[in-house]
Formats: sequence, C-alpha cells, structure tokens
Amino acid sequence: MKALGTTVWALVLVLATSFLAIILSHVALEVGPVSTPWPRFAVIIVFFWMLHRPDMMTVPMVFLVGLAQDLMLGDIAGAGVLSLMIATILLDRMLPPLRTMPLVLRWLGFGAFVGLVFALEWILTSAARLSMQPLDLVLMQGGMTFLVYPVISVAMRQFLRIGRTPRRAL
Amino acid sequence: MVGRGVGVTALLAAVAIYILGATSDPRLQPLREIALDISAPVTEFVGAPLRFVRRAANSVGEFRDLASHNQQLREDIVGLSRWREVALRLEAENAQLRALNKVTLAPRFDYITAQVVGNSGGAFTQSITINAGRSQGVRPGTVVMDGTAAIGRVVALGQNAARVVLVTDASSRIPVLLQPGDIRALLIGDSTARPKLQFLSTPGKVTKGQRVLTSNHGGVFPKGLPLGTVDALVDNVVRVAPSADFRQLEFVRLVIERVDLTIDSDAVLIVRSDGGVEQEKPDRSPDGPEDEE
Repeated sequence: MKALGTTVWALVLVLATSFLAIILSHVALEVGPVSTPWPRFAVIIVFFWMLHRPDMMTVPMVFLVGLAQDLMLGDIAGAGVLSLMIATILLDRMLPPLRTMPLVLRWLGFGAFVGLVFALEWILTSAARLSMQPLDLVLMQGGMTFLVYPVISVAMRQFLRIGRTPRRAL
Repeated sequence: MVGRGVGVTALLAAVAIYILGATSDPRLQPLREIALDISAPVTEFVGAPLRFVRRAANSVGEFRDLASHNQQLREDIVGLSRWREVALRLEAENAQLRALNKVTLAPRFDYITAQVVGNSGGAFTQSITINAGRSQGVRPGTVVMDGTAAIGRVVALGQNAARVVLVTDASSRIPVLLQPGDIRALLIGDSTARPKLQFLSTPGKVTKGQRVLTSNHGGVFPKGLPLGTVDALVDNVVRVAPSADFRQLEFVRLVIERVDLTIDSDAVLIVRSDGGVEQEKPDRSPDGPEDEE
C-alpha cells in the first residue's frame, strides 16, 4: 500500500513539474519582433526524471509531455514530441551509468540529449515548412537550455532530497 | 513486452501527429483549443509576479535615462505641434466636405482589447497568446494591432484565449501595398526583426521610407492597416521595419471587421443543367408574375 502511494506521489510530481516547466517556457516575460529564445524547461525536466525516475519518465510519458509542449507553445504539432521521443530512445542506454556520476558528467550527458533534441526538431520543422529554419535562434535556445540545467537539477535534487543513489528519497 | 508495445504505439502516434501538424490538418484544432484554454489562465497567473519584476526593472532603467528622455520629448513636442496644426486644418476641411456631400460613414471595425499572457519563446515560432477568445467574439484570422500598426493574426482559438502568429514568424505571408507608388508585394516573415518583401509588382520603384500597408488581397487583412516602412535593401532583399513597438506589447487590439449581411429571403437559386449557378429574384409587383399563355 505504501509502495502504491509512493508511486502515485511520484507520478503526480513528474506530471506537475513537467506541466510547470512547459508553462514557464510560455510566460511572456519579454515580447519582441523576434522573441529572445527562452530555455526549454520541459527538456530539462524530461532528462531529470529519466535519470532519477526512469520508471516514471517512460516513452508514453515523454509523448504526453512533448505533445503538451507542442500544443501550448504553438510550434508545429508533432515536431517537438517526435524529436524528444527519438532522443529519449537513442540515448536510453547512455543514462544508467550517468545516474551515479557527478553533476558535471550528468551535465555533459544532458548536452548530448539537448543537442539531439534541437537538431531533430530543426530538421523536422524545416521539413514541415519546406524551408531551412534560422539556425541562430535554435543554437541560442539550445545553449540557454544547456546552461540552465545545473541550476534546475541541483534545485530539484535539493528540494526532493535526492542523493546519488536514485530513488533514495522518492 | 506490454511496455514496449505502448512505447511503439506512442511513437507511431507522434509520427501521425507530426504529419497532421505539418499539413496543418484541422483535426488537430480541438486539441489546440483545449491546450490554449488550459494554458492561458495558468500562464497568466504564473507570469504575473514575473511580469511585475520585469516592469520594476524597466522602471529603474527608465528612471536612469530620465534626463535624455525628457530632452527627446521636448524635441518631439516641437515637431508634433506643427503636425497638430496641419491635422486640425485637414479635419475641419474634411468635415466641411462631408457636410457638403451629406456623407455618413458607418464604422467598419469593432475593436477588442486583450492582454498578452504568453509567448512562444521559441526558436521556431514567433507567436503570442492573448486572453481573448471565441467568447469575446474573436474569429480565426482576426487581425491584431498594437494600437497603431498590425502585428499579426489569430491562428488558433480557444473559448477565452487565442494564439497570434506575428508578422515576423517564418510562416507569415501578408499581401501588402507600398505607398506612395501603389506597389504590390508580399511581406514574408523569416524569424528576423525585419521581415522581407518579395514578389514586388514594380521592384525598381521601391525606396527607403515608403509606407507598407495591408492590401486585402486574399481577404484576411483589411485594406490600409499600417505594418511598417521600407527600411533597407540588403543583398537585393527589401527589408521592412515594423511600426509596432513590440517591446511595449502588453495589451493588443483585435480588429473585428463588421460584416453587414442583407439576406434576401425571396431570392431564388437556380442550378442550370450545365452545373452553373445563377440567382434570380421573383417579380414583386402586386399582381405577381404574368402567366404565359
């Protein structure tokens, strides 16, 4: 019974943080003729939960988070979710050793993940619009997402009291 | 095994959604509406303290530049005073001419004001989310202005929220008219701050400073709304500087064009044998149509 409660609590936590991450990427802090790219917090959250609760951040869950992100941000529906899912599947084998590694190495692992996600999304969006999308904005947003990762990761690990061993506190 | 099956199904669903999204299939519209209606109020709530902090930071910045702003405003007042005199003279002349001709102009547009609650913040889409939707009378394609110039149009609608794609978005295509000169062109967004002009009817006549107005070709944008001015010719590409002040974009005005439909209930629709359609009005004389012998 206690195990079930913990699982439900973890599921609620994963869904809530994912939803909040999408909303934070959507807040109109600064509007311009071309918006300054804002980090994709949902990509960070997906990677974080893939490391710490892989049983929760499964491929169907990645599908839900990616779809919600595409629909809320108004990007081409499917481009974000598909790139997120493909990156998740491709890097799935890389993740288990990363779980117990120091933050710097996890950060590098996240760099590979975010690079793959943005590259795939750029290809899929360019294909859907039949024109090459500007690369500078993609690099800027990918870079910002990469830079923000340690802050979010450390804050969430502190908040959720996650040690190096996965699931110790959750 | 079951988990793998669910994963494969989710992947196939994502591929299907991508195909539908890439072809702008209307079957995704209900999903977009639900997402808009859920996200807009939450974004507004979450964003309120962040916007407060941003406004406070802006105020500090403005306070620092107060002296230079003051000087700039004094210079603007001198210039605008001259224009005010011209405007008053033209207004009086216009009123006189209308009175002579007994012209009464019905207002063509209704306006709705909405707050910007979210933006795409992304590398692929330049769009904003506003807190007005179908319940407030917004329609798909409704033109959005910042007060003086058009900034985009509504592409997705919820009950109380709408998504507006900006003129700078890579998917934006607006038929425009350059004045003076009556040059027709297409304003194309390319995710830069200055969208480009293509398919100019007379490219040789384009000069810097020409006004770029909507032309109503295609019927989405009403005619004559200002968009910007011709800014520069770089590598044979004509760039336009938008007139709207995007940095101050907190509230927007939605332009609802009035459609005055007069429905003639007596009209008869006749379908010819060759498939053509013609409309015929019955004889409304008191005696009715005369029967042919």
